[in-house]
Amino acid sequence: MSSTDPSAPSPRPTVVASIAGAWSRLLGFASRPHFLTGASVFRIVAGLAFLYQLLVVYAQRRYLFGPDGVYPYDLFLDQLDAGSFSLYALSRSLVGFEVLYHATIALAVAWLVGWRTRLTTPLLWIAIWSLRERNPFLWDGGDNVMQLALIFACFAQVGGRFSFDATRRELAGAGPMSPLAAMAHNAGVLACAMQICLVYGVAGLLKVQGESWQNGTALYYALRGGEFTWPGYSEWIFENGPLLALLSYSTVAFQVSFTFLLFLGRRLRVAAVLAGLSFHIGIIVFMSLTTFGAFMMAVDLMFVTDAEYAALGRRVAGVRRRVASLATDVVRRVPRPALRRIRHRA
Amino acid sequence: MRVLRRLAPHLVAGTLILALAVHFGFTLLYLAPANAVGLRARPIVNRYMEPYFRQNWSLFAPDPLVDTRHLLVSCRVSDGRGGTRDTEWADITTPLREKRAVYRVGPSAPLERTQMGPLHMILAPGDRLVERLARRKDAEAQFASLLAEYESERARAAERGHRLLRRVASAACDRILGAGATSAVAMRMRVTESPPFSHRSDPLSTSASRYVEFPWGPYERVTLF
Repeated sequence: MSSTDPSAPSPRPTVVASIAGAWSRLLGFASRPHFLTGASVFRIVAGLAFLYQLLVVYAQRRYLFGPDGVYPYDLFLDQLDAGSFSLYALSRSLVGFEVLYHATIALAVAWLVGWRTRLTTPLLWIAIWSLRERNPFLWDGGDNVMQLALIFACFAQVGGRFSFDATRRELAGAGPMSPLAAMAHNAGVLACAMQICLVYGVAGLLKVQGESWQNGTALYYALRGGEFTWPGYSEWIFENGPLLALLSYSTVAFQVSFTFLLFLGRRLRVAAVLAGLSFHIGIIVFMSLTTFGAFMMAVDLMFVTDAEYAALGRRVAGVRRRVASLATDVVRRVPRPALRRIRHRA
Repeated sequence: MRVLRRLAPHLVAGTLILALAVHFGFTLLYLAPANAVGLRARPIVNRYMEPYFRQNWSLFAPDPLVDTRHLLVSCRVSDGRGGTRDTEWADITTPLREKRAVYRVGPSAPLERTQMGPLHMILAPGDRLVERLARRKDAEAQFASLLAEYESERARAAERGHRLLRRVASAACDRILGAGATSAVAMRMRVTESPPFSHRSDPLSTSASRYVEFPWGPYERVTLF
């Protein structure tokens, strides 16, 4: 390693320098917020799903969660994990329950419209966690994902776009996000990405071990079994052998490959997001796992960059302009007398 | 102060990277199947992950259910002559599924989960690792206390499941007969195996069904609305 020639560069400083360079590039990258629009789209889609979840059982809320509901209060207190909590444990009264349930709805609305998300995100996590613990039988993988994603979302800026917070900041003339806040935001988004990769990866690897996923008939059994069948429509899929095998295999392929697609290149990432969206739309439509699909889509939609969302927005605006000008054209070409007749009739 | 401000980005970035690495390291260990590293670290990992980071991703894996389950309920009511009579078995799952087939969004799905959840709790398959331990010849001596604890925990979970089923049944009886008419409830589960893939066009009604009986138990008053 030692050199007699004093002018030859010694390799050690170069290694240190390149590490230092990489670190400072990383710091530079992390000091700017990324996936800001995605984080807000996540908030809107997940917020709508939370609201749906709370309102769809509004008439049954006392049966499902109330103090004398189907999950008995004494069992609820007894089964509450050591170290866990639920606001519903504070009071056995019906009034207390109603106040909490309606406060949860109000919080979900506030979060959805992006009102003080730095405060409402952790509060919503507390409210949703409390409800989950009150009746642990109602939840699926989608709720599990959201319960984790909400913790990570506390670090992220989920009110950056399409929100009351954004409007308020704009009116106040607030500058860009501070580097430290940006770092926390990026870490929150990255945590969601790592978590969703684990979800798909583990779900995919567990499926690989299943006989029915290996021989391509798993989706037949999933669609045939009682809870997830849609009489008259599930048959479209499960009576078509080749389609069924294709969908079963592509489900496993998508889940196992998601992590690699997400991190190994821009086009692959977009492909992963699109595959995830169509996969979950299929699950919502055919299996009526509505909130599961919506929660998963909310997280998937986080991983579209701000530039990609901006390009999508421009394209949508372009299409809208073209449709509008086409409509004016059509109206102009209608002969005057006909137009007068239409007006007259109206 | 100035030094701190210059150092802050480095410290914050380092802390965040470390936190992500540690958290997802724990998550990986938590999700991994039993292995040499995982088993030893299991108590620490569980203490960190549960309850707030609890997770389970066996979504339709390793294989989806191959049967259709329906819950039937019978209510014990007064016969008007000082005795009791038991009502015919009423299927309380099919109405929810029929509603769900028409209205794809609605409360049927969560209501159905209150029926299916306790069933899974009663019929939960045993822990594969523990059952392998139990089959060992020296199991008695070495793991007796562990196995006893495992068995009693399973029994307690099944008892909770039975109680929840009784409350579901009590609510169902109140809906059918009016509140308070019922003194005891019983449930049975009808299990219909899906036809094998090669007979996928066969209607479900051609498959054989079997019944799992749950014992009579006291009625419990449950809020309906």
